[in-house]
Amino acid sequence: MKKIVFLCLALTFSVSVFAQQSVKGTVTEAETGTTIAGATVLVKETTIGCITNADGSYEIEVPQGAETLVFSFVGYSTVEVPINGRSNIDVQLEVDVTQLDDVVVIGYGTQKKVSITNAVSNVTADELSERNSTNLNQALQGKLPGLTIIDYGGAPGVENLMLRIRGTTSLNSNEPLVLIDGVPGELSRVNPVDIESVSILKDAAASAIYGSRAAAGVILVTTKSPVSGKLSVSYNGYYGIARTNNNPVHMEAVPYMKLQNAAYLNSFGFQYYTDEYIEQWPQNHANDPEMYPVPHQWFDALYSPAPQQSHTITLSGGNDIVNTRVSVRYMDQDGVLPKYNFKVAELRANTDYNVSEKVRFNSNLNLRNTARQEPYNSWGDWTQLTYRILQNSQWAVPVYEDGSYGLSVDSYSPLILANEGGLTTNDNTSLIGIFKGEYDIIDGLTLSGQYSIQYNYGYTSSFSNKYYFQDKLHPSRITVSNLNYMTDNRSLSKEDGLDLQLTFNKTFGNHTINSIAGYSQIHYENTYIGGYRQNFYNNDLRTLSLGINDATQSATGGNYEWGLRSYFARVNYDYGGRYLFEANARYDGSSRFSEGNRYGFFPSFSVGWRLSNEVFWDPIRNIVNEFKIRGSWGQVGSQTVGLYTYIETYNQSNYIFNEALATGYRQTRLASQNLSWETTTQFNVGIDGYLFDNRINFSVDYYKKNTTDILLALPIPTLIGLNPTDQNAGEVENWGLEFVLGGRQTIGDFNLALDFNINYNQNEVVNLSGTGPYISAYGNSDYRTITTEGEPINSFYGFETDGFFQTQDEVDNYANWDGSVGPGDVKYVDQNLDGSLTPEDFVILGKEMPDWTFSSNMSFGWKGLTLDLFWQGVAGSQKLITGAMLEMGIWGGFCHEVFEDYWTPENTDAQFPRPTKYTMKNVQISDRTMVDGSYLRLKNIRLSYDIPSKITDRVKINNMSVYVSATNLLTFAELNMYDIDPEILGRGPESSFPQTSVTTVGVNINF
Amino acid sequence: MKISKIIIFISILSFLTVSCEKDLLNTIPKDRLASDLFWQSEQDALYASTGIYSRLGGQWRYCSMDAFSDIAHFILQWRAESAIEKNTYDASNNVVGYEWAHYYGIIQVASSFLENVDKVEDMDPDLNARLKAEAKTLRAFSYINLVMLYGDVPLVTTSMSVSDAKEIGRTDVSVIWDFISTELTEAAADLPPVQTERGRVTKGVALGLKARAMLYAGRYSEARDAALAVMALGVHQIHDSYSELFDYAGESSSEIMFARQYAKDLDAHEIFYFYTANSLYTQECQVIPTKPLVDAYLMQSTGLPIGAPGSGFDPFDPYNDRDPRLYHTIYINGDTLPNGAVLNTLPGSGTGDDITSSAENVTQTGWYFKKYVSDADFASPWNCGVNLIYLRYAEVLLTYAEASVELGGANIDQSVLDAINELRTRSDVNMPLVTTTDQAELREIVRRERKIELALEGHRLFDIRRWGIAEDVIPGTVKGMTYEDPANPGTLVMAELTGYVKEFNPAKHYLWPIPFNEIELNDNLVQNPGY
Repeated sequence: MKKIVFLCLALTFSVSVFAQQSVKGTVTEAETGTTIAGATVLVKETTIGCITNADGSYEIEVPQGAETLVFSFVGYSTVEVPINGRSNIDVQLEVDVTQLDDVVVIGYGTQKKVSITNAVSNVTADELSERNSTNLNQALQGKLPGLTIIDYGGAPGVENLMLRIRGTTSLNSNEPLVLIDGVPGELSRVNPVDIESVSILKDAAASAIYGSRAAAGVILVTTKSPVSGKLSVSYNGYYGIARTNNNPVHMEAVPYMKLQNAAYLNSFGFQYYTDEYIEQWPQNHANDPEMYPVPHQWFDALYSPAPQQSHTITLSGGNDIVNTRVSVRYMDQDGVLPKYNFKVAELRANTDYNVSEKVRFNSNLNLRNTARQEPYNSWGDWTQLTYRILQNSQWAVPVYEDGSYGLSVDSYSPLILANEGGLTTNDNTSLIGIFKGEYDIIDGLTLSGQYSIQYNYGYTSSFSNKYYFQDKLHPSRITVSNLNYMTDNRSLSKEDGLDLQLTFNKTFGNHTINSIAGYSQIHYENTYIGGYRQNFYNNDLRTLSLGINDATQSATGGNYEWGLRSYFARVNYDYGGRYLFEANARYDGSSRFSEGNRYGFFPSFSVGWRLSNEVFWDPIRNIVNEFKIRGSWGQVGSQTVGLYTYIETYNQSNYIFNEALATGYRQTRLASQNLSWETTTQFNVGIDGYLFDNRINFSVDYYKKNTTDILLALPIPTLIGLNPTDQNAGEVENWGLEFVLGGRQTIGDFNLALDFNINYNQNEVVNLSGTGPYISAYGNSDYRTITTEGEPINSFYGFETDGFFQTQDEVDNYANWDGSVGPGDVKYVDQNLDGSLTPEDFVILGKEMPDWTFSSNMSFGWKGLTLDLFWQGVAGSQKLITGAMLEMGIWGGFCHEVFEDYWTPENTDAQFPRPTKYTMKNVQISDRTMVDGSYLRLKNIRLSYDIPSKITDRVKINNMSVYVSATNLLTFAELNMYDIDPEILGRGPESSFPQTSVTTVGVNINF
Repeated sequence: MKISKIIIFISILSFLTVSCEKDLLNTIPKDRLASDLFWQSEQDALYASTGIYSRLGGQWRYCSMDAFSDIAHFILQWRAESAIEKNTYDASNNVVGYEWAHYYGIIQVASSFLENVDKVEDMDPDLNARLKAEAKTLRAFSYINLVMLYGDVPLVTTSMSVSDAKEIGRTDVSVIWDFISTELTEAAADLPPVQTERGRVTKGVALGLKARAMLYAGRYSEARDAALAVMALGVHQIHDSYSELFDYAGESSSEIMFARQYAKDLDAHEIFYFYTANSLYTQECQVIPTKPLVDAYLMQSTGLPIGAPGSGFDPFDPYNDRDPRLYHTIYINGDTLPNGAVLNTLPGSGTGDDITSSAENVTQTGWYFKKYVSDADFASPWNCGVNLIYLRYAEVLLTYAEASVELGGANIDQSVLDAINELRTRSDVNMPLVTTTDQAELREIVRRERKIELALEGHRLFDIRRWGIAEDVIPGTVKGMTYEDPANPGTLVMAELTGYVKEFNPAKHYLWPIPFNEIELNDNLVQNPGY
């Protein structure tokens, strides 16, 4: 709430010829002691007043008889101070916790929270600092009603977070537009220490001013502005250790071998291990653990606690002409798996220049370099490493006593993949410059312009090693990579944006008008180049030119660009602080569409009524201090189609003649001339209120949004022979409720604050224009979703089950499917009773996107100590168990200990079917493979201590706080049964970097 | 601030706006070729012609085809290919959809070429005619496969709009056979016997494909005539070494008439991985030979089937004295693998190929394929350049023989025996000559020759379909080698995938279903019986 906004108050000075008294003093912030420039000082019940200077000082002539001075500043509580004949009065302003005067950043401007008629939620720096996350995404999780963030985990520097504002609107991209100081960017690329505020524009009325890119909502990030006054220096730093949570436990050796034997017997009629071998195994293992290892030791061998640290130094200060804030940061983060590392070095410099009372400039520069490394991975989206930890890696000794690697039965070692397989490094440098000018033409009328440019230089190098490893005890187990090879890719992108705005703000009696008209354009271009060579002298000389000079060397390159041009306007009308009205419009043109379809128009309207400002509210104003009803309607767009899809093109497609490459060209995809915007129409009603001296705040929102003309690559008959292109078709509806409830109370030295955010969202595909259903996979897939009319997008789709077959007779009299089905196998329901099991018997099994998302912040303060708890959870979500976690040892994969309770003729009431080998018949996608994905987790717990000023003063420190915090300490979830993290990606631990729990100690010092 | 300064301020901002104005929204792609710029020169026609060839199928498709019959087995049971092999698939099976889309893809590029090539002005008329003939040949090749897989299919010969494609119905197979016959006859007239660019189709290919199509259609005399026309060209000869044909050494042999062209490093496939012994590369092998194929190889000395009395077959030494094509096609125990090791798939062998190993991609039958597996590819098994054969002269001779046998009577003469014996007298095959002129005996001989000579070249599925023998050869478990149990000397054990039961319903499985999505999108497409 330290929002520094310069209000241009038109204060009139009534000059008195009578005797006056001069009062001087300084206004400072109570918490930090920094001076406050621009604070208003008024003689009570007069219009006599002044504004504090850059150093927070003021001097005011007070007429005789005046008794009280009123000090106020946006974001702070107003203070009334009796003069009592003093000539020097210093005042400390407390940060205003009532939030009533909060100013919220909205599209192209700011607005007082109380007069907002749209669905906007907002979080400020103070609230964010409770979560010392390494990136902003994690810090925002659960903080903002209406914003769902699912943290899929991810390797350091490659966050895997899904952001959804009010559900899934489209079948295409649902990623919100993120603007950092008005410039498109990524949340993860801002130093959390630099954040002043984050706003979420949820309904169409709030986001329509961003038109064609706003369909999935807008996130506005504002970085901290300079604070004038003497130079202040602060340091924020932390050191943390990440550990994996949720390591599944493998079945012990003897039960595992018995399960495998049962599986072989059931499938092939022989048992794999002799009874004698199993019987002697425990003794053998005790005598010779290298020859007789336990089935799975990879978690111990691979995972290790990973340190991370971050240091930010911020300098801020200036005078009434130039104010600057500069922050520099260094961050270093290791992964819990070997060879993963991420480093950030960044600098942000934000400078205000007050040329005159009417002309202001601002420059905002951000230079950021990131360096990331990870083991070489040839698998694209999936990492072979995480897959191999769970698949085909059994019965190996990761490292023998002599230091040599051991290999699994299938000759794999994830440890070799990590340590010896090669390395991928990514080095990314971005430079963002924003230059802004503002000119107050006349009172209330301001012209502003902003030019921004973003350069991004990326360099990715991948080197796959040459290696040969043989297991010393099992010579048939060999893993080999015959050739080392390297790819080297570099790309340069440039995005420049221009924004021009004319704003007009004026109050005439009871009428207040805020309006804006603007123009915006963005141009993006990207060029890239890449090279490949193989057969390097050794694995260490990783330079492209050292690869062998043969026909395999290759180079590639290209470029692409896109542009957006927009005109927008907003008018905001307030009558007497009671009746509020707003209208927005944006006219957007995009290069992604053909001429004639290029422009789209996106309007919105909203109204609000502050009942609490009406006379009839007087009787209850003491209880309900503030109450507002608001409603909005609007349209926003989405332009999620590939570039140039409207042009029919021939692509190079080569062939070999005479053992040499011959150039060929062919069309690969239909052109789609009439493509245009995807449109989301949203309706929103809500109430906001404050109770009991503003100690309790609440809001409730209901929304309904319909997305039409969804850009779909509709399936076309494949006999056309070309790939389909996007068409405008389809409609998806989302509706939901959002509840916010907050309360704070101070009793003596105790402070208590509680906040609850609850969101409910329902998603339904209304219409697919006669196409569909879209089914992601058929056959023996272990992940399958369907998008069909009347159901949520991407619902899980598979068989219903009806227990296990108990007798052969039961099998013989049941629908025909797999010839090898027998007693103990899963009985899938033949829905259409046609006597055979086919995809026509599939039913919808649920969906991953939760119905309910909820979070709660609990803060307990006592003197300088504060304990913050952040809880987060979802309900109404299903998870599909996949891969080894599903397969109970059918293939050579990890076999979880829960599978011990399997069907045998003696144990017919088992939880799991009879084991089988090399067949997926018992693990088809079905209600059996779904687990309730609901969870409640203590996402973050933090204890902080503000060192008393008695101590800090002695060492010349303004203030200092230390904290210790931990993430993901406690989780309640049904998924705990499989040790699967509830926030992990759809396909589960095989394809995701492990989730971690991070313990951190940190310090914030203000010198 | 003075008015003049304001004017300057606004002017600067306006200037910035206007200077960025041009072409902001009108971006022209620089990384692809807009179609209006194409079809300007002869070179464009050649580019587009090469573009048709570039759609020819990949190695995975090629190598999977025989696993859908009785002579090979697809190891990974979770793949859609496995459901095809077992005949437990339905219309939504990926393979069913992919094959359909693949061949219609070739048809689209070929038809588009035929529609557009005349836009090129000043084109050499001979070149124009030749390239059109190539397009027609490749299109006919696609239709042969479509008909054999799906039966009646929509006959598409031009570019289609989405709405037309949602209304087109199925065309009777006999009409499509007529179309194929006509197109290939026309194409043959404009094609040269030899192309300067190896890989392009020739007169022999058009005629050879016609012979194949007419044999498949049961139009034996047309098939026989087309085969004879190829033989009369005089440009194709049986290569003296069977094993060389499937390795780099045989790539330029005139026996190979039409092949998917590959070149190491430039456009390579991974066939080595696909067939590799697990002991060389783990988790790679996909397809392995089965007992019906291995048992089909005759005894070399007697020329008799292994089960025939007096054949000389010794179950305890099963690979001795067999048709040498067995040794060129399949790795059997005792063979030297490309890494120099000796293959041993017996239980307890301690090698990476022990059939009872729990590793996933180990052979379960005891054998691996050798055809196309070149020792030269061992070091880079993902970088194989051996061309994969679509049509070779041996098939034309067998087509001639089979068509003649089916026509019977005077058509069964010495030329038929010569055609068969030509294959059996390669220097590295050297099997006894066939002498019988009995129609039934010859029919059986020709069918066996096709099974072993053309194994792994994608013919078997179509052969068992047109001979109507699928219900006899498909159902049951997958079986492998018979070996002397190391634990019980003197006892023979047969490897068998007891849990893997293949089905075949003759009322249904002689045709694949029309892919599910096609039926969904087009009310005029009627599904095949049983699906």
